[in-house]
Amino acid sequence: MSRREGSLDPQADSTVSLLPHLEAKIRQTHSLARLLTKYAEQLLQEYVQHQGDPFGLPGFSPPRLPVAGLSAPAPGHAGLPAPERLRLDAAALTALPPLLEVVRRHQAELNPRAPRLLRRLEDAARQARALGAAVEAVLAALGTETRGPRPEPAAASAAAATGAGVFPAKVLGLRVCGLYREWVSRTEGDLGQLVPSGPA
Amino acid sequence: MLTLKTWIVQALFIFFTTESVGELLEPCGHIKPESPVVQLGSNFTAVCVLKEKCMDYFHVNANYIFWKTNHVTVPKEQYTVINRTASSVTFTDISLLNIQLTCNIRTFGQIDQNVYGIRIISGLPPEKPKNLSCIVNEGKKMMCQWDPGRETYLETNFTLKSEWATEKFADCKTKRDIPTSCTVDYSPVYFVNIEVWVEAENALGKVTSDHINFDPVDKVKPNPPHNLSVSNSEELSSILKLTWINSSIQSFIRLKYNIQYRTRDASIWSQIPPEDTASSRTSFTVQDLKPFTEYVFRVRCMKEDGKGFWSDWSEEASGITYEDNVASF
Repeated sequence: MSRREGSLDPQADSTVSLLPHLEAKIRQTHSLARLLTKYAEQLLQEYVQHQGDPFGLPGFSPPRLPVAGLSAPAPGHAGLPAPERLRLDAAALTALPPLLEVVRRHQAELNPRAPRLLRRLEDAARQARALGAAVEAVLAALGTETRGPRPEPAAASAAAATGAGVFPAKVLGLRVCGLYREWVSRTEGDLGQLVPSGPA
Repeated sequence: MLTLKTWIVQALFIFFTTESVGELLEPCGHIKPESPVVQLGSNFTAVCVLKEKCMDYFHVNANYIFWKTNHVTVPKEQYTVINRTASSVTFTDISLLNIQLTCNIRTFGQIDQNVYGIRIISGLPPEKPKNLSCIVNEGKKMMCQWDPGRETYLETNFTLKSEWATEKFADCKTKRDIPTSCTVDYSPVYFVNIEVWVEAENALGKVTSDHINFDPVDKVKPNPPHNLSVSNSEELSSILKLTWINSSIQSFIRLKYNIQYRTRDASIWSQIPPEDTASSRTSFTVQDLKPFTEYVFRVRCMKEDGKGFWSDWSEEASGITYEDNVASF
C-alpha cells in the first residue's frame, strides 16, 4: 500500500504481497466506518437537542422529504454484490459532505451558540470525505472500477429550497444527519462482510 | 553679539545638514543593505553612499568615510572606495551575533560626523528537524515533537503540517517558549492515515523534516484502567481477584495489560507474565500468593498489537489473601 491514505497500488508486483495490505486496508476502513457510525449517532442526538420542540418529542415524525442528490439505502441494498454495495456507499459518502456543509451553515444562523454541534457537523463532512476515499481505495484494490464522474450533489438546491423557513431548514438538517448515520452504518456492514475473520 | 553669531552659525549648521526645512533628521547618506541578517562564518560587505548636498556642504567625498563597529574604528585595509560618493567595508568570517555598524565622515579636519548606522544580525540557517514523533493522549488532541537541530541565534519558526489524502489541516505554529512541539487544533480521527512533517524557517533559510505517515490509532496513549478493586476467596487463600474498568477507547481498539503487584512492605514490583494479559479484559485472578498477606496491585494498558504507548498506571488497590484453612486447624 502506498504511504497515502486512500491510495492502494493495484499494480503491485506480487499478489501475495498485496493481500496483507488489502486486508489491513479493509480492516482499517471497517474500523473507521464503525467509529463514524458511533459519531453519527452522537451527531444526530446533539442535532435534535438543539432544534427545540417538536424535534425530540416522542411521536414527532417529520416529513421524510427527499434530499436532492442523496437517498437512503434501498431496501434491496444488502442483496447486491459486494462491489456494487461499496460503490453505492462511496457515492453516498461523496454526496454527504456538501449537504452537511449546508446544514452547518443553517445551524450557524439558527444555533450560533452551539459550537460543539457546529464542530461535529464540520467534522462529519470531513470524515465522510475520508471514509468515501477509503472505500474507493478498497474498490480499486479489489480491481473494481468505480463508476465514471458522478453528477454534482445538489447541495445548492437543497440550500435554496429551505431558504424560505426555519422549520424546513431544521427538517433538512434532521434528514441529512439521519442519512449520514444510515450510510456510514451501511458502509460498516458492507465492509464487515469483507473483513477476514480472526485477529488483525 | 558674539553669542548671537554663535547661535546663528549653529542653527545654520543644523539647517544645512538637512536637505530642506522640515526635514531636520535627514541623514547625510545611507548604508546598504539596511537590515542584514548574515550567516555566521560568512563574509559581509556594506556600502555607504553619501548625498551630494552633504558632500558639497562639508567638502567631503567617499575618501573621507571611515567605518566603526560597536564604536570601534574598522581598519582602513577593509575599506574600498568605490567611487566619489560610495565606500564599502568588508568583514570576513563574521563571528559576532550582533554588530552595530556606522558610516562616518571627518568634516573640517576634526569633526567626526555620523552619516548612517545599521545593525548586522548574524546567525545560522535552521537544520532539518529530526526524530519527529506524535502521540495522541486519549481524549486529547495529537501532539508532535521533534529535535530542532543546532542553535541558530535567530528567531526560527517551526510549523507542524499535517494532511489526509483528502484534505489539508491548518498549520500548527509553535509557541516561542516551546519551539520543539506542537499540539494540533483538531480532534484526532482514528483509522484515517495522516501525513505529518515540520518546517523550520528563519531569515537565512527554510528546511523541512522527513514526512511521517501513520494512523493516529497507532499512536494512542490510553487513559489508565480505573476503579481497580481487589477481592479475596475464602476457598483459596493463594488467590486475589482484580477487577477494573477500561477507558472508553476499548470500544474501538483491543487492549493488552501489565499487572504488577507487591506485598505491602515490599519496594519491588512483580509482574504477571505479559502473555497472560495480552488481550482485552476487565478482571484477572492472581494466583500463587501467600495466605493472609496484603498485596498492592496496579494495572496499565495499551493497544493490543503493541503500537502506541502504555497508559499511566492505574491507582493502586490492595487486598488481603484469606487465611490458610489448613494452617488454622
